[in-house]
Amino acid sequence: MDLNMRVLIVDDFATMRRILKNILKQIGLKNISEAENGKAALKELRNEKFDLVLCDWNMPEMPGIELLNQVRSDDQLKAIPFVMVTAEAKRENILEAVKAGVSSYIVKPFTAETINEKLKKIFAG
Amino acid sequence: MNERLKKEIDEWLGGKLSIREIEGLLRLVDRIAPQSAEEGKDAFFKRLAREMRQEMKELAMLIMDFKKDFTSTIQPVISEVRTTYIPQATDQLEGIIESTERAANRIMDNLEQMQRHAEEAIGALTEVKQRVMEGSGKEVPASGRPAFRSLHASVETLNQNLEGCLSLIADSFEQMSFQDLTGQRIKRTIDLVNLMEERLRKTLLSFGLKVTEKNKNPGISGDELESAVEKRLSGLSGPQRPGEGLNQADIDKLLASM
Repeated sequence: MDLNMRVLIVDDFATMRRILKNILKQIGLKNISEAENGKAALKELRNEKFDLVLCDWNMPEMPGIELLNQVRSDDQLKAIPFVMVTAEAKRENILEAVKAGVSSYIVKPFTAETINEKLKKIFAG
Repeated sequence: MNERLKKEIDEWLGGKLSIREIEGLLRLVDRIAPQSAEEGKDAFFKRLAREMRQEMKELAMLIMDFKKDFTSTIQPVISEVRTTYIPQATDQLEGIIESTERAANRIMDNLEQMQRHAEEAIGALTEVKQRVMEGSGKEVPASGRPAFRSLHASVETLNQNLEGCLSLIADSFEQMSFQDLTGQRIKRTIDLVNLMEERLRKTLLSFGLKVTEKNKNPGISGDELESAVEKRLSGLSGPQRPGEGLNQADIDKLLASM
């Protein structure tokens, strides 16, 4: 896993973005950007190159699942690993995300170890 | 006339009545019997109607009592719930989100500061450790050896403790995600409370509009009333042009008139 990769955290809760950022820093990742909803994230993704998206499900303006669908249907963005980090642990949500092409699904509350493990798995393949 | 019946009656009576008398008796029975059934039927329906009237009267009394209670007691209470208690509950819940978010940010500020201090201390200790290691290669006088060993052990202990602190800080950060989870649940509760407020508003309006329409047009049928109220309610739900629909003052006036 390249620790210099560019990560985009998408969550409407500033606290949650801060927690995730701190955890990613513990893992060794340094290039981290933030967006507060899917709409803002899509703008960021189209303006700059990112190597990973960590995204919440429930957000105003554009929820995480819609962002995932938009990313996967965009030729320029569709290859970006997309991890859903959410409190939505219902079977239908997970199935919907898998169907939309999610790379991994992390349920809140999570640990640094879980995030590290999932990222290693994504970037090992 | 039924000959067999006449014969049977003649046998029962043992010839005490003539055939003509039996025929007369049967004609009388024929005349009386249907009339009795009609009378019975009539009495039954009369009794039913009486009971029904009584029930209707009691129901009407109940409705009148309800209307009186609703206007004088229940309606102001429901109105107060909608206009005061529900917004208060929403404010309280939003206040919880804000205060926990504020506290969570403060805790995270402290954790980040502690993290920085611990990292700096580990950096300084690494330097001390290096010097101690360098020193260990040189000849240490016998008198200084215990102190040297003790210093080495202390540096190691300090380093381990600081690493322990960093690990606890990292764990505390992970635990802070509770704030996001409780926040999301509270947000859902706020949405539910808002939905209840909206339903209550519609119920109150619907009731008020029905009473107003009925007072305006006492002859209106149930279906016509439903349709008139539905029309007015749907007019209230969308954006209205100036002069159309009800404003807050109209709604309050309507509620007060109930």
